[in-house]
Amino acid sequence: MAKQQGFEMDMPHLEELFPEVKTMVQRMKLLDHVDTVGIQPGSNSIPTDTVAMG
Amino acid sequence: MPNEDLTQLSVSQLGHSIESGDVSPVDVAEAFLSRINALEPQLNAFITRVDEYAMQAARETEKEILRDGYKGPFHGIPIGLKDLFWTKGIRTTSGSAIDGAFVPTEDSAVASRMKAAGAYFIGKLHMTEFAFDGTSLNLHYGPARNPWDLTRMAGGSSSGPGVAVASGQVPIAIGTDTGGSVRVPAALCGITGLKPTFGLISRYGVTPLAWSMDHVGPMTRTVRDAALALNMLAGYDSRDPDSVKMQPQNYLEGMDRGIQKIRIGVPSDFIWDVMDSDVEKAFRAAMVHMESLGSYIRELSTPDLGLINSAGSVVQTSEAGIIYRSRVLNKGQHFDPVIRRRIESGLFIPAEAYLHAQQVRAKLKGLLLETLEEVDILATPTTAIAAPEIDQERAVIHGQDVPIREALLRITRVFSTVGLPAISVPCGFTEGGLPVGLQLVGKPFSESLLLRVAQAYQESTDWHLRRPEM
Repeated sequence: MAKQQGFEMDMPHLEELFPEVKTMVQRMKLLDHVDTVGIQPGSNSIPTDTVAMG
Repeated sequence: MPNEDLTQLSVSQLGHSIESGDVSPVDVAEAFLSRINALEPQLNAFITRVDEYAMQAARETEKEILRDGYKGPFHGIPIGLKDLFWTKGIRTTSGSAIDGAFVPTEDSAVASRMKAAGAYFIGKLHMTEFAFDGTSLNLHYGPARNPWDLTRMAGGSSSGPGVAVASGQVPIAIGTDTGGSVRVPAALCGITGLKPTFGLISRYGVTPLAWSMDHVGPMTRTVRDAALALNMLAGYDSRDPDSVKMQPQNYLEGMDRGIQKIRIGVPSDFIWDVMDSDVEKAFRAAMVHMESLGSYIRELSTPDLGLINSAGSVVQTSEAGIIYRSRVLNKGQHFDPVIRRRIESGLFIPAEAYLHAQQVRAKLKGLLLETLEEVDILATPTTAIAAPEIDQERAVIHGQDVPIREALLRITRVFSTVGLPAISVPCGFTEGGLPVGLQLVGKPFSESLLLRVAQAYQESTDWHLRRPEM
């Protein structure tokens, strides 16, 4: 994957990067069990006509 | 009025003094520049000073007021800008070495609106590199220091705005908030920080970190000043794809109506999994105070806020990875290695994981909005801890070893992820004398109510009036 992304494969930097990627993979796994069938991936936008103004 | 006094006033107070002619914009500029000169060597709140530009702007403003009259509460007010707002002709580093010589050829929407209101900027403020850190560390420009204790961090990524407002170097600053970057430094520095609903303030001309999570927000001494700033900054801008079309509102209206019968919900879980005792004590006391003002406080079971936090982290890192991909791959050596690795980790998030995180985000946002129907606003501590030591990496909280960045951002990131408006106001101090922030969260576009509740709390307490001894 690193190669596909354009990283130089002999970089010692990749070794330092590994723990950071591992942490991110763990975060992704935390979301695995959430049932999202039928849910459209949304951005953060909130249509103003669907909410009450406070 | 002696110069030193002017630097302790709010925007609202300064505006009244300028309007009445008691002080001139030049008096104001001189007072703040003098304060910056005195304190900057200790605090490091600025990346770029623009003293000459500011004095010239103040002189022009003074003539303008004499010639055309006073045009409103920001006329003649100096503002500090986080150094990722484009400012025409003045360098905008975004806290990076790569953009160390970048001079924009046009103003950001925020800078344009400020100028139209008669304000001018007095400096480009410290931030963490590309806003991707909740501390106040910066490898290229040095750390910004907390005015309450110079050995401690100010929080980030809007570190300079937090420090400069708290220390009286500027009366108001504008920051950005992707995971808590307005509210965290506001809490750690003892000031007020508002992150409005996603899309309410244009991000045109703001260096991005994560498109779907970046917000612009004011950092001020008082809630009233935050409302004034929102009046100035909110509004549709076709140049920002997420900008919302809304009727202009006066956010000062109804601010002083009190909070009788307002229903405040306190999340019963997640928030308390990692929480410093002093911070919790200050928060609980604030809730007792809110109750004494006539509001109803109740604990509330919420959707899994931890999952929202995790989804936000995946989305933010993935978007940052794409935004900075070319730069980290081709000029990675110019980044702080910590920031570089954080950005690069976003390149390892597959498309399906990003989309799944967006689905989780959408699902839980819907559930959270349903929960919010049971109350008017939510209340939480802003951060799980007060300001850590400058170079502290981890904290032990009730026996748990927690990374500092997690302790700082875990609560605020939830509400950036779902785009809800949130404000942090000072609500006390730790035993060690460090400020503690109270976060109030509203429904979408309920800034008026949010400001009203925050105002009721602030007007009946004096935490926001306390100043660090400098």
